[in-house]
Amino acid sequence: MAVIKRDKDLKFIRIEEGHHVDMARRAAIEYARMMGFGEVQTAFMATSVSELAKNILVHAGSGTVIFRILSVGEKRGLEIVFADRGPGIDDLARVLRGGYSTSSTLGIGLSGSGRMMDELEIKTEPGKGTTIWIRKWL
Amino acid sequence: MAGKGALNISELLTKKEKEILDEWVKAQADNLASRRGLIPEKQQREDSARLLGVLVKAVAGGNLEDITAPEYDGVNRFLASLAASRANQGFSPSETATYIFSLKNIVFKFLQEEYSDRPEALLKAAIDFSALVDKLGLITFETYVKGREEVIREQQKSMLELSTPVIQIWDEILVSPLIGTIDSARARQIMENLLESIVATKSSIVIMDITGVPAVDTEVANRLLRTMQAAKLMGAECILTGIGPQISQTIVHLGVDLGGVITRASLRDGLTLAFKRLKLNVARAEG
Repeated sequence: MAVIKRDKDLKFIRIEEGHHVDMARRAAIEYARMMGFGEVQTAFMATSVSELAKNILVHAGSGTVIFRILSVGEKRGLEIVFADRGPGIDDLARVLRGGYSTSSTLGIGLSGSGRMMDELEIKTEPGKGTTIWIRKWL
Repeated sequence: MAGKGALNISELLTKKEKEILDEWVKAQADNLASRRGLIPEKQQREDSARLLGVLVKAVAGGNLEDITAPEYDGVNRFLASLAASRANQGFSPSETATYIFSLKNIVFKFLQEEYSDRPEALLKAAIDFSALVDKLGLITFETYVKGREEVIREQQKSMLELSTPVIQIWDEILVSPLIGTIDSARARQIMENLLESIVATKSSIVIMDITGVPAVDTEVANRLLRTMQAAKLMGAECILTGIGPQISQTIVHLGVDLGGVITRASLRDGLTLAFKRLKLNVARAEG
C-alpha cells in the first residue's frame, strides 16, 4: 500500500471570525494554482474550504485550517485539514448523506465538499471536536 | 502606603518631580524622534510634564500595580490622547511606547542615588516601577491598535454601502450587480435594497448578477435563493446571471437545487431575456 508523505506545511489559519474564512478560501486558491490545478478544480477546493471553514465558525466557534502538500510516490496533492474542539458531529452518516442541518441552512456543505474533493476523511467525537481532512491529487 | 523596609517610590516621585522631568526631557533631546523634528521640544516638555504629573498623582496612594483603579483614570486618559496625537504626528507605535519606557532609566537613576545603601529594597522598587511603566507603555500600543481597528471597521461599512447597488436600467427592470463575498450582513442589505427598489420602481423583473462574487458556496446559494423567493412573493421575476463554468460545476457538485430559478450565463443574456418578457424590441435604427 502506498504511503502518503507530508511534504510541506504551507499555512495555518485560525478561524475565529467571518473574514478568516475568506482568508482561508483565498489561500486555497493561491496554493491550488501554485501547484498547477486547473480552474474548475481550484474552484472546487475554494468552495470546499469555504464550506468547512464556515462549519467551524458556526458549530465550534473557532478552529484551525492547515494547508499542506502531500505526495505518494510521484503523485502530488494538496491536503487541507479543518480542526476544531467543538461539539462534534452526532449523526455523521446522516450529515454525510446531505440535506440534514442543525442550523437552518441547506445542510449539503459537508456532503458537497466530499463530492468536489478526491478524498474526505472525518474524525469526530461528541463533545471533543471534529477534524476533517480533504485531499485533491494532481 | 508601602510597608516597612520597602522604598517609597511615590514619595520619591513627588519629591523629585521637577528634577526627574528635567532629566527626562534632556534625555529625549538626544532621542532619535526629536532629532527628526517630528515634535517641537516645547511640546515634548509639556507632554512629559503632564504625564509625570498625572503619574505622581496616581501613585500617591501607593498603588503601583492596578492601573485600572480609579486613581489611574487621569493617566489612562492622557496616554490615550498622547497615543492618538503621536500617531497623527507620524510616530510609530513602538516609538511612542519607547518614549514612555524611557522614563524608567531616569527614575532608576534617582532611586539609586536615594537608596544606594539598601540594595535589596532598591531592586524590588526598580522591578515594581519597571512593571508599572511597562503597563503604561502597552496602553499607548493598545490605543494605537484600537484606532486602527476602528478605521478598518469604518472601511468595511463603507464597502458595504458601496457594494450593494440596485439599478433601474429600464422601465420595470432592475439590476443588482453583486460584487465580493456575501456574508449575512451583506445578504440582508442586498435583500432590503432590492425589495425596496421593487416597490419604488414598480419593477417586474430583477436581474441578479453574480459575476463579481468570488465563491458560491451553500451559504451564498441559500441566501440568493431566499432573496429571489422574497422578490417573487412581491411579484417580481428573478433572473440570476453571471454563472460561469466554475460556478455552474460547483453548484452541481454541491447539490444546490436551483431548479426553480431562471439563470443565464451573462448579464447580457439576462437583459435580452428581460426585454423579451416585457415584449420590448431592441433594433438598430434604419438609415
